[in-house]
Amino acid sequence: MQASPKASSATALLVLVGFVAVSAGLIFAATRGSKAPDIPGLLWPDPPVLANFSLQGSAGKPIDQHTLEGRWTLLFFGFTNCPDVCPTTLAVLKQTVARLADYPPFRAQGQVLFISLDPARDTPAQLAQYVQHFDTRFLAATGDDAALDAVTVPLGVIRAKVEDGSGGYSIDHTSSIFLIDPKLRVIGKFGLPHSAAMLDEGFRAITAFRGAQ
Amino acid sequence: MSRLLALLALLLPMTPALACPGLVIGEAWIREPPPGARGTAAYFTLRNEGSTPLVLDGWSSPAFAHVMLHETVLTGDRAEMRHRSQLSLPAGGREALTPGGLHLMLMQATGPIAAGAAVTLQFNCNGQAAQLSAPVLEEAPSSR
Ligand SMILES: [Cu+2]
Repeated sequence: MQASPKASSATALLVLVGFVAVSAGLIFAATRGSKAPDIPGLLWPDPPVLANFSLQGSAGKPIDQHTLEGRWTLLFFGFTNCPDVCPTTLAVLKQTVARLADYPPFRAQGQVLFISLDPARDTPAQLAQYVQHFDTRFLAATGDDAALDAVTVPLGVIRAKVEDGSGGYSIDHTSSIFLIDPKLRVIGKFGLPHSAAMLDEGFRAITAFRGAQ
Repeated sequence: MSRLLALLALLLPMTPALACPGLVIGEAWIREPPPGARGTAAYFTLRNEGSTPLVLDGWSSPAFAHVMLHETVLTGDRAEMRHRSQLSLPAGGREALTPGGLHLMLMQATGPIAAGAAVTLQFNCNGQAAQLSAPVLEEAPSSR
């Protein structure tokens, strides 16, 4: 095929545009300062930051941004009637906490928070029993739609009620575990399938990295 | 003691399912529902060692009002459970029901389901009634 002069000048223009775009990208990346190291799950630079929120906590006290300030929080969303993903992940979190027990940042500041996306069925009292089945230190919370949105929207967490075929319902939801740093930055995100080894490693690498920031 | 029994049940050799020649079921277990949960899931492996294809469907259990075959599917990081009407195992075929993937969804327990107990799961195998028994465990066997 023979290129017409018109086509070749269009090609030249495309090449130029591409070159400019790549250069701009490189300059932008170079001027970012802290470049993201290769840590699986790390959200950096520009981690989302949690806005103020207020949920009903399982211990009878509200759970809000102050509960997370100054702490490293592993945060997971679900509901107690979730038969497969939620208990599997909570069991993994239980093992993760055991592995991190000797790691100073976790020992001093670590916590696990389970937020129920099913306030119609999950009362704070029920949630307490549910999470304590896995680990007595786990926190749990829920709230009405607006209260939940305040947490889920900044994190991009999706929740959708679906009929389960037996007259009840299930909730499709984001199944990642989030790591919130002491300044409420959403600094890590771990997708399925979860394993204690992966979370343990991710937690150590991210807290070490952030400690250096 | 009950925990030991459950563990022993798990260690039993693969058991052939009644009335389903060629089908070998292994590693069956049911997660003990955490307090407040009325549903849970059953997991096991299936192997068709026969020479004819097998179709499994019509799952039920005396211990639960509803039993369905589900598959947890990830769309991005969103987990959804999809209903599967049947499982087909060609001759020599295998299938594994594992946490976060295929599972038997056990809904609306008719009574308390505690670790150490065993639950009967009924199904049809090429239209013939068959069943298996699965121990109720607190945690996945691999995490012990
Ligand atoms: Cu299911």
